[in-house]
Amino acid sequence: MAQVSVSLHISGKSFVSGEQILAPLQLSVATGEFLCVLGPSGCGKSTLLNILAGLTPPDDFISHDIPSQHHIGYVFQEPRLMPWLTAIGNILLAQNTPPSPHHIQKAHRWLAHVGLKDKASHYPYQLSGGQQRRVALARAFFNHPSLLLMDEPFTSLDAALARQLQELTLALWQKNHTTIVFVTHQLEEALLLGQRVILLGGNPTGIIHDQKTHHSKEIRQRYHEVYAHPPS
Amino acid sequence: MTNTLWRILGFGSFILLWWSAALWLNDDILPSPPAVMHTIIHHTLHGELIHHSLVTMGRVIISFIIAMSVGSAIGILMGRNTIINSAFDDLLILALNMPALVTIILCYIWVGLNDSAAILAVAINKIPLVVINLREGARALNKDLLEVGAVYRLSSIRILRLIILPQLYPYMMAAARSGLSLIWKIVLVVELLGRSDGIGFQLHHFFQFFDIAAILAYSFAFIFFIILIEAFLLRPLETHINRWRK
Repeated sequence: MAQVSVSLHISGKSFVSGEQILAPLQLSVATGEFLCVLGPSGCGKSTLLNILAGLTPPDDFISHDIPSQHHIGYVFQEPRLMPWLTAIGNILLAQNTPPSPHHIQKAHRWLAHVGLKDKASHYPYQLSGGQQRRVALARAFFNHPSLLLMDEPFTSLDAALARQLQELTLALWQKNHTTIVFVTHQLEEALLLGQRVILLGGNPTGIIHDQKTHHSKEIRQRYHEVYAHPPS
Repeated sequence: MTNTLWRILGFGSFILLWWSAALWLNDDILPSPPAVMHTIIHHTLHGELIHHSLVTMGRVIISFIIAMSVGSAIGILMGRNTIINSAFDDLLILALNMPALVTIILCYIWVGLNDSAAILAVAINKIPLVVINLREGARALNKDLLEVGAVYRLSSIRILRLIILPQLYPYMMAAARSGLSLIWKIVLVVELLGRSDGIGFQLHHFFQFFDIAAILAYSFAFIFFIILIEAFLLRPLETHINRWRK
């Protein structure tokens, strides 16, 4: 049995308005696992991710073991680079202490890993949208995070570019054995990337299906059952 | 090219207008541009223009630095924290509307007729304006970028230096621009009221002799210094700060 990297058991999550967005749910992710969280837009996927990131507290933790003291990587929907920092500077941002020459070298290596070796001193405005996302990926992997959270990072991209970055993500994951929780509303993306998919649904949102992706037929079936009109 | 032409034309007609008025009026009331130029050269070579300008410049720079740093700190705190903002908001309005003259007189009475009082008085006059600028900036900070700092668990110092301050530099530049010209004007009043050197003191002296040529000479000399600071310090600094913009 693989080692568990993250385990979360919460009583739910309600907004200040009182509306409950997340039902009580329990989730664990094995070390090195690539987990996809699949659900329609606005169902609370990002809220779940923010709870994992420690940005939002749930109503109550029943039990949790999140690597809060360890490094967390996060890839947002938009690249969220600092426009006043160069590509290298943006990668080094993930470093929570002033960077040493060793860190700078490491940042250059990461830039090379994402195929931007010669863009180190470029500012974000000098990079294309795809290149900015590569920098964001390098920043997320830079510190060897014990948990990498990805919040629909490729949904706003055209299909070809999304495909490229999905493959890059898979390659980086395989090489670094990173534990990844990847949120998406696209069934195909979840099946392509994840080893395991959890399907969110219901009101308030809970986990309604949890399966390894080699049972992709069952996941598809369940997905289409729940979302008769699957979100595009 | 045409812009430069219009610039020269605009400034040239100002000089011409001044010159013709000087020819028409008595030379004591309005000296001509060459007469003022001659006075500047004379006071630079044989008088104390350089000495008094440097003294004034020193006061301007010190009070400028104090006003910018204290004002920025308070402004950022007020912009980021609603409790601090409510606590200081009324005081800020009060400080903004406090007449410069009152601050100066009170500082001289309470601190004494010395340079500390002079610099304090100038700084107190400028701080509320810096606060207003920086508070606006701190309120407009990009939440998405701050979230990046939170997710990567950066130290507060790194968040300030890498995420917050770069967003505030434009507001600081605006405060610095308007600040420099305002501060030097207040410094003159402070000098006139309670110092025995500096341009303000000299202007008072020339006023008593109705030496208008010298009054204009000192003013223009100092405006020239301010233009130098603008051209060789503020503008290069601004270019450096904006290097990441398109």
